[in-house]
Amino acid sequence: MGKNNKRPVHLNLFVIRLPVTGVVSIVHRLTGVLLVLVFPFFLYLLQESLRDPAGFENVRELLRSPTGRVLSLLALWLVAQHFFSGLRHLLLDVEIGMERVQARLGAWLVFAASLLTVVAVGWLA
Amino acid sequence: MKTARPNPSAHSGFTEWLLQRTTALYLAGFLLYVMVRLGIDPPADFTAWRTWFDQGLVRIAWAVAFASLLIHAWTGLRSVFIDYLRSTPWRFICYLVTALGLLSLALWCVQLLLSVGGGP
Repeated sequence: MGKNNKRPVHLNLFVIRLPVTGVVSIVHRLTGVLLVLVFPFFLYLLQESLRDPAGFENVRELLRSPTGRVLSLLALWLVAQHFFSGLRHLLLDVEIGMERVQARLGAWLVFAASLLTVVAVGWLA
Repeated sequence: MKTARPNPSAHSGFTEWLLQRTTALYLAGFLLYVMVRLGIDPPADFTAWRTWFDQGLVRIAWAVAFASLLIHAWTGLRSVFIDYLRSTPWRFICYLVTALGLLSLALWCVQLLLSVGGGP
């Protein structure tokens, strides 16, 4: 402690301001956990689509319905966000982007890239 | 101050660390391949979709992807439990539920891959 004993000591997530690198880290975990929960639904749709022509059409219609589109774009965001923040982790493993400025820039790029992916796919598909 | 003691923390296991990274690399490559492949040539109908899926290499690639995903999920959830659950019984319960859940998903994946064996 030493010279400044009055500094605030609290880890309340609503009080401390997490830097963007911290946000990207916690979001990586959150999206990871959510992706595990989404995976069974993906498996079910994959199985249905591969079962017979009727199943294929059902899945296609489901994905093309407004609700289906919103949900699949949300799922795509989970995948893209986890993909790009994971890529950032792998680059940090080989000591790329370790400096504070680069680390923060990388974190912002992760959010930008995943949002861009969702917008691009939503626009094209 | 506490003395250092052998305390399992999220990133203590080198095997888990390596598994997490290798599966991540495979999944990233696989994801890009599938996105590009289906983006360039979206399956027009069931037959096209099944024909693509029924190729030996594609099915093997999916099998490896499923295995990678489940291993990756295990390493990830394990880190989360180790970091946030301080009580051993809770940790044990979560490990058990996760292991059973992921094993069930693994069996489902095997069943799915076997069921698409014989062509459309």
